[in-house]
Amino acid sequence: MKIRGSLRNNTLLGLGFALMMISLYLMFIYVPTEKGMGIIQRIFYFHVPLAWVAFLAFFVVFITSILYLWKRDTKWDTLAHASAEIGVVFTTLVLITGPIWARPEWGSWWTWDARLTSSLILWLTYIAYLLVRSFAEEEEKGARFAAVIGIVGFINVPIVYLSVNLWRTQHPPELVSDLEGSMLLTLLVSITTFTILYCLLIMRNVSLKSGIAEVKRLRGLLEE
Amino acid sequence: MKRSIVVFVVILILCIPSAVAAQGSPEGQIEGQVKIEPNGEGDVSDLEATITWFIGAKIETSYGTRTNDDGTFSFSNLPTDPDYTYFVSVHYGDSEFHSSPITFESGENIKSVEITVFPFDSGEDDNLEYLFAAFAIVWVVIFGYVLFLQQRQKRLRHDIETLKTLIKEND
Amino acid sequence: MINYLGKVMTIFFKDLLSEFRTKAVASSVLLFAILVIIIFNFAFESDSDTIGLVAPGVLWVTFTFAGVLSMNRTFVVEKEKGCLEGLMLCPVSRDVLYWGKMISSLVLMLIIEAVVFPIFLILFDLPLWMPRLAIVALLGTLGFASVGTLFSALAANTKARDMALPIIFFPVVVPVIIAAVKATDLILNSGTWHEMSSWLEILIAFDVIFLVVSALVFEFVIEE
Repeated sequence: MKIRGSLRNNTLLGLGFALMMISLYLMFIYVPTEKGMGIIQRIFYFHVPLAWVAFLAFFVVFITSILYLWKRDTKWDTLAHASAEIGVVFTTLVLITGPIWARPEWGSWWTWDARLTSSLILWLTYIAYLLVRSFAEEEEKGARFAAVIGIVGFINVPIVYLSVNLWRTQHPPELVSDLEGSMLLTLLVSITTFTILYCLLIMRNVSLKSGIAEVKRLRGLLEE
Repeated sequence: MKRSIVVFVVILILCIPSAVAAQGSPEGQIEGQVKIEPNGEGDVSDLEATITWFIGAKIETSYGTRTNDDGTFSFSNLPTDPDYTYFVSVHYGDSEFHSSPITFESGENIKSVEITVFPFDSGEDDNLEYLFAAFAIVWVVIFGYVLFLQQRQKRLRHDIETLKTLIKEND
Repeated sequence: MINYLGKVMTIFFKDLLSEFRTKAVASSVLLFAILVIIIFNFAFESDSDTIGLVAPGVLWVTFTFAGVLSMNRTFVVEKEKGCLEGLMLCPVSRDVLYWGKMISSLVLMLIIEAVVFPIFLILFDLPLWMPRLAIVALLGTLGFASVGTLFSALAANTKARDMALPIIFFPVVVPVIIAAVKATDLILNSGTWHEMSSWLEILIAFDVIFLVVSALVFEFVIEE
């Protein structure tokens, strides 16, 4: 079991590495420079995949939170916790690369447009998700509270987006539909790469979290 | 419990917002002027200008016109519903130049827009440092996070070993 | 059904009775809200030009802060006296507890708002009779109370009681704040019903979704 697991792990790592090289080639050499925005538009090829992975991570949190409250199996909680942490890291990157793109493009670091604002709200919600665990007195209680926030926070996403979209519309609408073939290819390869990165990170993080649980268990044994 | 889930689903379906906005009367007009950068020299007549409009993120329709000798153009008979967002783009050289989004406030029916075009030169791009910064930050953060995981894993393994030996000694 | 409603009402009357006896929460929150409005008056030089711009924001920021303050108390009080255990021993299902608590914090907030509104309108020199504002306030407060009751129960069970609530509560109620501020803005600047309708839709959607979701997950928050 262990050998098979590590083999799978290594295959994924190799695949991720190869894809990363390919997507680097695609996003810097193969794809033509977008004429309207110039070279800065290449940020798009990792900004969008980062946002996609962050959203995927929070979706995983939502599903595993429901499963945890339903089945009360700690493995779901571990998965949710690991996924939320990675989601927060990736959302942080989205919130950093977004302004770096906006600065030369719109002339300001930050605009309160729908997508930016929703990402910021999402980020704050999941920071609260991570904090609540440390606020709770017992492990199990923290897991339950976090799961509740994971569910409520995710259900809130479409409402936040809808309201912010009505409030401020500044961003040009998403242009994925009329992307040129080469750009779409680059974007898709890049999204795959980052999704594999997410899988690798989550495996790492889950084993770390179960390690922490193991230490706690052993400590308990020792104290007895 | 089961009943409350059913009620929830029914309510969810009921409360999908009735986003059927009444159409505004099509009397809006967008007037535009094409300016050329950096010094205003160059021919701005007979350029292709296209207007596209959106409701939310959905493209409704688009059509084109050509600029006059002085670089002006106009689109009329546009719906002035505040839900509509318009973009005007001008084709100049090999490039498309977009306006900022335009919406009609209530009561307004005329909007003017100015589009600045410049001869596109791929050698002139000085945004490279932004691209570099974004890319560097992405990798620094991801690398830092992996390193952090690695470090904690190492410490944990050490802790587990110590605890196990302690337990053995106690036995 | 009548039985269910009766149980909910019993909890509601219990809360209202204890509040009427002590008047601890209502009086302090009321004073707090008035102080916030007065401080805002100093912060923005309120001449007649800017009032229309800042008034909706001032009103809803005040309600948000006052709301957090009073929500914080709903479960902390129960917790301190050990009443929560007593409540949980009641032979009623957990969502009855939620509805009872939700209605009592809603009514408490509405009473506070009924006093704060006229004071606000007088201090900002606005017309006193605005029935549409009452509808927006009711919908907005319902949104606050629906999520607030859930998170207040959650926060009361953590170590960081008073800190935890705003951290979790604010990101989730962003849609309510945006929609309420925008609708209030339209009312104060004589907008039409039609312009307001999309904001009211968001408020109603938020209220309905979170009343149901909160009632469903409430049991996971208060179980020991």
